[in-house]
Amino acid sequence: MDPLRVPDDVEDHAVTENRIVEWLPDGIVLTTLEKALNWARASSLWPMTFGLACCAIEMMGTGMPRWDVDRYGMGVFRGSPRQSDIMIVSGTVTRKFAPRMRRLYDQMPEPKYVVSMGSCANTGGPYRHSYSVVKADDVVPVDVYAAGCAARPESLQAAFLQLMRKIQRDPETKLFEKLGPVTDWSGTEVDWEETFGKELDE
Amino acid sequence: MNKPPAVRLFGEVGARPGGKHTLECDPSDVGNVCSKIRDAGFDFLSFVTAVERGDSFEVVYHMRNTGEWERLFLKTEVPRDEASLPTVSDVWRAANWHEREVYDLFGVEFDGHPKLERIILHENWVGHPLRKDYEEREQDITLDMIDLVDDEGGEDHDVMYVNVGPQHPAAHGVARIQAAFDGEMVEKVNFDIGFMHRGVEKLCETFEYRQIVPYYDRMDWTGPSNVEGAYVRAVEELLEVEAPPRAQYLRVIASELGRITGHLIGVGQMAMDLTGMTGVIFMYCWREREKALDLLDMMTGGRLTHNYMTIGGTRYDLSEGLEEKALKFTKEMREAIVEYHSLTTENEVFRARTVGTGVMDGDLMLDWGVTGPSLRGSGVDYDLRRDDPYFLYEDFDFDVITYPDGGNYDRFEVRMDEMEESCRIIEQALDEMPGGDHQAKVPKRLRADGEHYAAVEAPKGEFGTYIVADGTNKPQRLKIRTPSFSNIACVEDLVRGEKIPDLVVGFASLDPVFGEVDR
Repeated sequence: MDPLRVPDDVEDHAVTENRIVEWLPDGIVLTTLEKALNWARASSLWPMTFGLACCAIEMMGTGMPRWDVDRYGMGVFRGSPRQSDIMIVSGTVTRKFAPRMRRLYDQMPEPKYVVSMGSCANTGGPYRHSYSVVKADDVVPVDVYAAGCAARPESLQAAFLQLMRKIQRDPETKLFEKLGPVTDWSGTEVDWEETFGKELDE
Repeated sequence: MNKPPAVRLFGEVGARPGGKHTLECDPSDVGNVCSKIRDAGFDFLSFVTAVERGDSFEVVYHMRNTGEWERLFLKTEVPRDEASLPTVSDVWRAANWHEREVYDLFGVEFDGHPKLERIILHENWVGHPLRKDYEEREQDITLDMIDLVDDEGGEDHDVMYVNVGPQHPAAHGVARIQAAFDGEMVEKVNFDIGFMHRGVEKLCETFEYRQIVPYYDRMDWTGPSNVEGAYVRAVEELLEVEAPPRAQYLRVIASELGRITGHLIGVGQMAMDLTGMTGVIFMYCWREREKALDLLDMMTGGRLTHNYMTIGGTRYDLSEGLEEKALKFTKEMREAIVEYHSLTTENEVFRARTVGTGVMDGDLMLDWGVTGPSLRGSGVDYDLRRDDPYFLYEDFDFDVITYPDGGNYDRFEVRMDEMEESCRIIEQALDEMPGGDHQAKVPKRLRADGEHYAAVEAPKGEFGTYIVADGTNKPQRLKIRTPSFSNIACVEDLVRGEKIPDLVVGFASLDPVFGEVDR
């Protein structure tokens, strides 16, 4: 009898699934495409080589053997935004640098994630009253915030793990789209589906 | 012989003495007076800044004499509405960037300056933020493309433009270098800095004296403990507070550990720039750096931002078990330096890339205001730890490292050897640690009056603080003289005529930190 054929009298799909699993040889796991994609994405996040201020030194330290982010598949720091999945805003974002940071973010391919590292990027930190400092989430949409001034490597790693969890639990993975509204630097909302969806359909 | 320089010069330069070691002159005479001061042996311009005094700006020049290491201040007042005075950038090259900074942040104009443009803030910025009446407003900041390097050679002259940064894999910080190349040779270099400008000097005017120390940590993130010293030294000398000897020794240990961590980043990044990410030298440097950071963590409670030095002492006493660990570290550090040498200076490719490239002689370096290991790599024997001792540095036996040739290799070697000297100082400090308290009695409310400049030898060079106090508990003006700002100004002379890859190495050999450059 063909194990994959669903018997006419059984309507419960769970039974069918069980029968398929029984029939499979060892070492093969069934899952949904979304879960597999999320797993792959979360396990090979490539950060952009993008250092700003004090936290950048700790970010470099995190990449070094003692803290070893290669464990999470994150050790491949890329020199180009076009090859990176994750942007670590490691330091103070100033008004002069903000447009450039937005451009770097725009140059990264989807799906892309942002970790805001340290007090300066999170809130402005000690410089929040300064005339030339803005927050990271004024400029780019931030996924995870790492605490500390300067954020210690442990804190950054906790943020990485949090981000991986977030990606793996993403209930509705869409292949070419990031969830939620995204604004550009001037504050206008950008409709990503409209901007990029059409191109993809064609 | 022992007359202060201001008195000696008084008759010669046509200016009035204005108190201790200070000269005053009319703004229109600045050019003449400065040339005479320069002829009298003051060959090093430390900084130029302005202080707001009611309806006028007081422009302050600080010079040093490399023969006898005397200091001199020159002050002149310009009215607020018509703030302009002659440039001195033809007298000292160092004045070029400092005058641009004063123009940028205060709006004081310097007639005859070769390129009077904003240096730190964006070119579209409205207002001059360090003026007291500056109001914050939305700024129209746009992305600008390469347009600053103009082609002077005509049509037959092929010039290639290369833009490096502000985000770039070499990771020295966010700076942008616009370079014009003729074939493979560097023709012109233009620096665009200010991407890390956080407005520290303005913020410091709103804080009490004790609250300012953490901001210093965040300027030089490679070796923060030295930089704290620049502030506490200036405030202590202004308030005439003296820290107890135990605190001074603790500060020396923290400073020297900071110097090691700073130089490890400098050495490692220069090696990384030479051999790419695959070069393991940077990782080896981080191995030792983590050990030093652990010691600093133990001493101060923070890996990077210590807030360790207080006015009149240190925050904590010597931690239990630190001595043993520090001695173990210095032993391992010495072995590691031998290992670094085997990976870098004994490597043929490394030598081929560094020996004889980026050469600049000592006089020109001083003219540009370069200090620290970069200056000592050109054979100038100048170290504030010995020439202007602070923190009881005079008790310690150490050598000031100099190398004669002034190339990239020499600057690299100076840093390598200085790490060894730092190990020596740490061992001596632990060995002769005096007893007693680690914090002097200091009044709870600190009020200061007068003005003072003091500098320390940070890993990058002379890091100074110029405080102008007005009798309240907050400084009226705090000028931070940072070594990296002056150091990188010389790059345009350093790399002219060199090949493309030497631009990167020349820049790396000066070991800039952009928190310092932009403040």
